[in-house]
Amino acid sequence: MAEALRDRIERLLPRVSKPARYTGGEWNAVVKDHSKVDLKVAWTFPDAYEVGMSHLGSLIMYHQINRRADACCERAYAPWTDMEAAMRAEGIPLFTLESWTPVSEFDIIAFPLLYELTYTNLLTCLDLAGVPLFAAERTEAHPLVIAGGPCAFNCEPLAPFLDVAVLGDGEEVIHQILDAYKAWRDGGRKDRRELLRRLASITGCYVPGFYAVTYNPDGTIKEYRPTEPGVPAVVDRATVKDLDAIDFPTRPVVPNTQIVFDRAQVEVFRGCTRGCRFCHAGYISRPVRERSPELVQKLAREMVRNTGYSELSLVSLSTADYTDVQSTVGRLSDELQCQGVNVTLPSTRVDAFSVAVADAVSKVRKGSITLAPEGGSARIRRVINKTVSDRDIRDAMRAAFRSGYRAVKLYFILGLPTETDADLEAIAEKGHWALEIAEEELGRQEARKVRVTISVSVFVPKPHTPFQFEPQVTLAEARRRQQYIKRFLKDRRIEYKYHEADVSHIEALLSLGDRRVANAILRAWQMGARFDGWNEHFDYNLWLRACEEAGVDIAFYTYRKKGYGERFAWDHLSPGLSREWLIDDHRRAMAEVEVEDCRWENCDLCGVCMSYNVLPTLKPAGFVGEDELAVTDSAG
Amino acid sequence: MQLRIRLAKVGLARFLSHLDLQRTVERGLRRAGLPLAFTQGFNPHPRISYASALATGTSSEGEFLDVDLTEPVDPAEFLARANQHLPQGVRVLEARPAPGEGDSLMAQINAAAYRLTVEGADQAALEAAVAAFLAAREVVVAREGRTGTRPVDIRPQVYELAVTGPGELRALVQTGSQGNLKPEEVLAGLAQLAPGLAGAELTLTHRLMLYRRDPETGVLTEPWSL
Repeated sequence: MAEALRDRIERLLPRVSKPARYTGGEWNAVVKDHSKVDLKVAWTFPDAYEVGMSHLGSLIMYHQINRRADACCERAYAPWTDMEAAMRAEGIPLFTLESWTPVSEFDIIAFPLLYELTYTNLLTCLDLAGVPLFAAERTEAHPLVIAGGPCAFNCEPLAPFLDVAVLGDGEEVIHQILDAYKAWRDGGRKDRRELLRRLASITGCYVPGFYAVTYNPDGTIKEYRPTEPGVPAVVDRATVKDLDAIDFPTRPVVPNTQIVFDRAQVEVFRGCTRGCRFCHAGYISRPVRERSPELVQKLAREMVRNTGYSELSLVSLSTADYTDVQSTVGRLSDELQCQGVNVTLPSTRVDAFSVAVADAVSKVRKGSITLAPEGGSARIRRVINKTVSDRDIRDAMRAAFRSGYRAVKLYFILGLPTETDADLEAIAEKGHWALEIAEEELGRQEARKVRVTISVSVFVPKPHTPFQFEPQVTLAEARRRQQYIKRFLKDRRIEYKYHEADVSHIEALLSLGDRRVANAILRAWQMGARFDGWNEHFDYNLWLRACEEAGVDIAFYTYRKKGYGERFAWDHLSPGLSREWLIDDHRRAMAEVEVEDCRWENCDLCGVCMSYNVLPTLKPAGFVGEDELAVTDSAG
Repeated sequence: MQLRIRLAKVGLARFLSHLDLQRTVERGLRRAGLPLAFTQGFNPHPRISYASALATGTSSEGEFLDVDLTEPVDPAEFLARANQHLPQGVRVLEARPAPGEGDSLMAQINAAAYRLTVEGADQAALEAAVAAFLAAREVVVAREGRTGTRPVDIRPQVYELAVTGPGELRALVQTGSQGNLKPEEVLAGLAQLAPGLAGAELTLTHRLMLYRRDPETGVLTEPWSL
């Protein structure tokens, strides 16, 4: 069967773009004999291969499942539109790269949800797999459809399509899910509801079908009510307390073809408590949990040896904040340089220290350095709690030019709460600062070669952040502000880039939406929406039509300021933050008051540590874990 | 020391582009822990040079590359270690010490032998077309270039052409910097000469070998002795 399917797929490949996306056969891919495993999971990434293969979380989960002797995990990706058309024409179902098996033959289909604009691709994947789109239409004969990742914290717009959503860190909860599935199946695979009931009792697992929603006359949500006995009113997230104690993949699948992040990745810590008020990731993954530097170095060495990559990236939400960043990076860099391997940090803070760290690692290539002040003026940076001063920005620019960089990229967000035209002018001003500082540091002649990129995206209010109460600026206003900034950028050395505001508008709809938005997603998909995150495919007018036909008022979800008392679609999906704290923090934002980072300063009682009995863990070099201490004590 | 390698890219690995292949080989050799020599400068990369780029979708058992090593490695050991660390479909077939200081392989290679698999072709029509092709003074096909399509006489670029089995051809054609003939163009030329080949499709292109062909005598030299 699989052989015949493989032959049929092979015949399509000469006709499609980038066929190496569909061939599999990568180094470190895990191919197991299906007759020898009990459970089969199709890890289905709802975006292109080159995006999905760059996702560290997917590599982690692939490893977690495959390390079990009783289970196998195989990969599938959303086929590009030409491949989708070819597959439909030939009647070829969505298949996995490891064994050319139709995804519908797996026990579980797992979707990572990283970005709202992949939702239509999720429907493409289910449909191509031949699995009913609606959870309610699936029977015991169909795979269980689960989804996880950051968007799971408001998966309500996908609620009718998902059997289960998984909140939080996946490494431990996946094993509970697989065990529960196995127990249900071994018990005769009887009632699908029984399986869902078992899963709903696992911390981190949300079964949307077990909740009924009612609405107020004004369209806001009245109530979410569990409809099954024993189902929690609020679903808690799964939290890994000690990263050192969980297995990390040092033999990740190495792609044969170019992907977005084509390098080895070692995660140095999880969570970020800097408290930038627009940042979804910062609130759903608290608190900071570091991996020890000794382990990071060990994992990095193994990874480089097992993959042959020429670049190693130390990843986290802000790697320059890693306690032992300097010596870890320095050591790895010195050691790996001899093997022609670059060490890189993907995200750095805006200060001279982080430039120095970036400088230390990129001894080899001085391309451009990226700084993300996010807000133009010091005032708006207080609003968003991006605690960098104008002076920090100038110092970072100076440090960058001094250490040899000739290109500086500056990232900003437009449409932030309380934003005025003065804040927009301040964005443009930062570009001119970079040029002035370049001239001071390098002289007029050399400064002519400098390139500054000002990149501006449109603010999308995200669930579970203090800005969840805020509206998005209207599309027309976002466009006006984009043009307004442009007026102040006349120097040829400054390149001005801005994201399509209409994409951000749909992103806001899908981020803030509730169950009623599912119809709009379905309708958009039926009308042909695919790869909405890709500019060449995104079609705003199609979405407008889809929303209209589905009776979804985009403005209701995106342009409305919400009261502190309003019930949100995501209130029962908890990352552990207390609502009172979010309200307090929103008030502080309006008063331009900053909060401290609880890693180094006082606890601000956001509630996560207490909710989940987890503590911030910083692990400087030489840190000895509790277990090791205990061993030392007993030996002594 | 420098080793000259003959490499195969077969099966589904034929869908790797030339850049993909380069990256895949480099990673395999790194994993094998072979003592690769790196270029100096800002962005060090291993000193590996390829004789010729191979099109996406074309399989091969005749890719040649030179690999610089910082210390001597026995060719047999190189072959064994490399093959333990290369992914499916990419194989080192032979490794020999590279002969002395000559021009680069890429500068010297000017001919390639292919096996072409044609489906939907009447065998008699195929044979007649090949005979007509060899007898023709010129065979003009449309060549797609960056600026558009233009007519090109491909006859001088085809040195040998023969039917070797049912739906199977062997062709020796010009390749390299002086001119490059695509196997698809050979089929396009054949189709012009025999109307019976109209529905024929080139389903598999397999490169057998690369050569240096003496333009005067037509004598072929394998890359090993260049």
